[in-house]
Amino acid sequence: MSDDLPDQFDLVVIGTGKKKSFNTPSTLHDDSLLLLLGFTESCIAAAASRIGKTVLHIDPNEYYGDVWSSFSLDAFNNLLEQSNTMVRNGSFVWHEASDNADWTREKLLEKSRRFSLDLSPRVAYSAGELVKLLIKSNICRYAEFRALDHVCMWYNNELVSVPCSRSDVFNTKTLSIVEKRLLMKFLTTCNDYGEDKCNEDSLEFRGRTFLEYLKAQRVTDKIATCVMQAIAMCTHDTSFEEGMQRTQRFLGSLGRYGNTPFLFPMYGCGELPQCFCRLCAVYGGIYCLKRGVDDISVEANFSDLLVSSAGKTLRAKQVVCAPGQVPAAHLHSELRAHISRGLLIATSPLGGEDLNKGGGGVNLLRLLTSDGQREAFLIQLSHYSGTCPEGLYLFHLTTQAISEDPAADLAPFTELLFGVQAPQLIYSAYFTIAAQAATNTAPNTPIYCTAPPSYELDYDAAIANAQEIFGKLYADAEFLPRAPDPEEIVVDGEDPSALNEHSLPEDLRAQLHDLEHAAQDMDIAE
Amino acid sequence: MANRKKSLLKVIILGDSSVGKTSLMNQYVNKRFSNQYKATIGADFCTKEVVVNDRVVTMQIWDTAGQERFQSLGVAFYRGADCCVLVYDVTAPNSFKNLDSWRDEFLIQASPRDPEHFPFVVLGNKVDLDNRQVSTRRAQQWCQSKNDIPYYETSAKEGINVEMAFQTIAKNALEQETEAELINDFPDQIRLNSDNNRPGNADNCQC
Repeated sequence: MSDDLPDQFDLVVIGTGKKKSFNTPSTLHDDSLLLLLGFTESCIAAAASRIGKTVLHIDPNEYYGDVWSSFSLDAFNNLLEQSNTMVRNGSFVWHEASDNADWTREKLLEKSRRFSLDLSPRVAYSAGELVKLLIKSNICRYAEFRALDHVCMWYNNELVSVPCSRSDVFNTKTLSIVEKRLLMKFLTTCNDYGEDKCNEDSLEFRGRTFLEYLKAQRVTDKIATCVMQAIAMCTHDTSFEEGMQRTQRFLGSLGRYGNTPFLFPMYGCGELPQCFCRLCAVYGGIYCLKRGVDDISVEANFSDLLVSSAGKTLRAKQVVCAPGQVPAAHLHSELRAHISRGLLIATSPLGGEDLNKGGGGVNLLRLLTSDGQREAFLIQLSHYSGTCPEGLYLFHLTTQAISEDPAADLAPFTELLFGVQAPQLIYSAYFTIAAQAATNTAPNTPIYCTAPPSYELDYDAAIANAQEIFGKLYADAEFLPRAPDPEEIVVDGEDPSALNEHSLPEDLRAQLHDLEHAAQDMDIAE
Repeated sequence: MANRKKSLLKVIILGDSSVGKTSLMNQYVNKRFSNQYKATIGADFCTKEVVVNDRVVTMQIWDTAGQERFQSLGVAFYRGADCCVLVYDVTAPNSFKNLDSWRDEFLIQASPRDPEHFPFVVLGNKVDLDNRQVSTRRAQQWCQSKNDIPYYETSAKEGINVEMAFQTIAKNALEQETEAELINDFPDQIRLNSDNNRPGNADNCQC
């Protein structure tokens, strides 16, 4: 295995994690970029590589995805025991109950690799930004999804499935006939909202809250809860306009892939950064895991950045960094608690057989504290998601951090869920994802820092962040245009200029020429 | 059970850089060989329809996309593989020695249900070159010691044994499924593409 790393890049992307030194390659060149491998960085790396930039993606971790990664049970426990810069306050306990002979600690650890435990679990709206981007760029060929089986709400101390499709509404036993009518009418109104700007409601409720609007519709408490908690996902303060927009977002994602508006990536969310990295690599991006960055400096009189990494100096036109990786000289900001996470493993699902027909799938539940001030979301996963062994269930809890104690931050929600009629828990873990308060680097330095994972259900903010940074790097370039399928690339003749250039789109043709140049300079051992 | 068998076989090719993984794939699928070593752009896997035991199956062959160069293949690459092809260069002894670690890496990352019987195929490539350094006997011994992995000596350049090797790959991948009576582990998986994505419009409400 060679260690002939080139030394000049357009872009270098650097991942977070502990800085470590490893004996690997030494210098890079041309028109390059270096980066670290979280979701956002991977998006930028793929987009830069796709338009022909030479990209080096380095990460001190031995895995892809940084705080967006998924882990086996062993690796997850190890991570919680270490003090990583981004993941902290980690702890886990085993609940060795007597009636759980089937699932002991040993049995779980034996199947460690059957787990794929996410640090930052999400679900994607079927018509949301992530899905649109995956389809538009053709990166969707690297990923598989599962439609969420249920969207739930917590009502009267009970877990209730929210009817998502027309047939759900008709079939559900949780709503009365009158409620069914009201709900349908309300949702139809929301769906049509915005078409008529002079609509009376639009005028009347402008500047007021969505809750006020909902109350004015004379829906029952149950329906109001259903809409506020699960469909529009609002708080008491959400404005009328935003509530309408959120409801439409939910409705617009219905009827596309499954029974609910949401998708979950098979084997966990940690697969997604890898899909983007794969595209980057296919277009010539170079990947180095287990490689840290010691320092980044601006070359005197030159615009290039010098990145020292494992005894080698790499030259890059620009650098994109995950927040934890920017050398202190370029960023003055303390890491603070950002997201509080809980991960519990149980032998039975929440909500019993009714809510988990056929062994369960993926369920989503958004929770609010009784005063409505704080919220959390729970993703329940069964083995059908490829993230745990058959017979076990994962509960991922996520909330915005208010302290350095993730278990305490989540206590109002766990008490609600696991207080009464609780599933038999066998393991519970808590941790904090930390983030920088500010991500601005020194002005005029071509170092761009990505935002940490924010508290969101989907990937909208992360994608917007990637697109924004990409726009700063390459102002006029298209962000992730469609990558052709392998069959669309015609290999013609034995000649090395193998690809039939005329059959390639213009951007790829230019890229092919650049690559040939780069390949000649790279000095790769035959 | 028959109707639950997959008609798509995922085959992944592993081995050190420059042993000829991409060339083997290209020779098999496109009947082409290029002497110049360079990054492949735009193409990262090839599909080919093959007939095995009177059944037509689609074989999807995945290249490493160069991510093996600094030992940075992620776990996603290994997901759902039905067969793993291990390639070394008969003129490069190190690439042969590394077969052990590639095999281990595969078993760890892919964690197949039955690691003992998971179908591997070993290819000793570049037999057209004069400076051969790894003997057939040595390679065969290694393959025997690992539960009798089928072994072929190939030349992607001359097209020697490539067709035959991939036939075996397809056959073993398929047999593995029959033996294990592999029911689909994860039913209802969704692949995204623009075709089944109906355009969103105001009439799209399902409620």
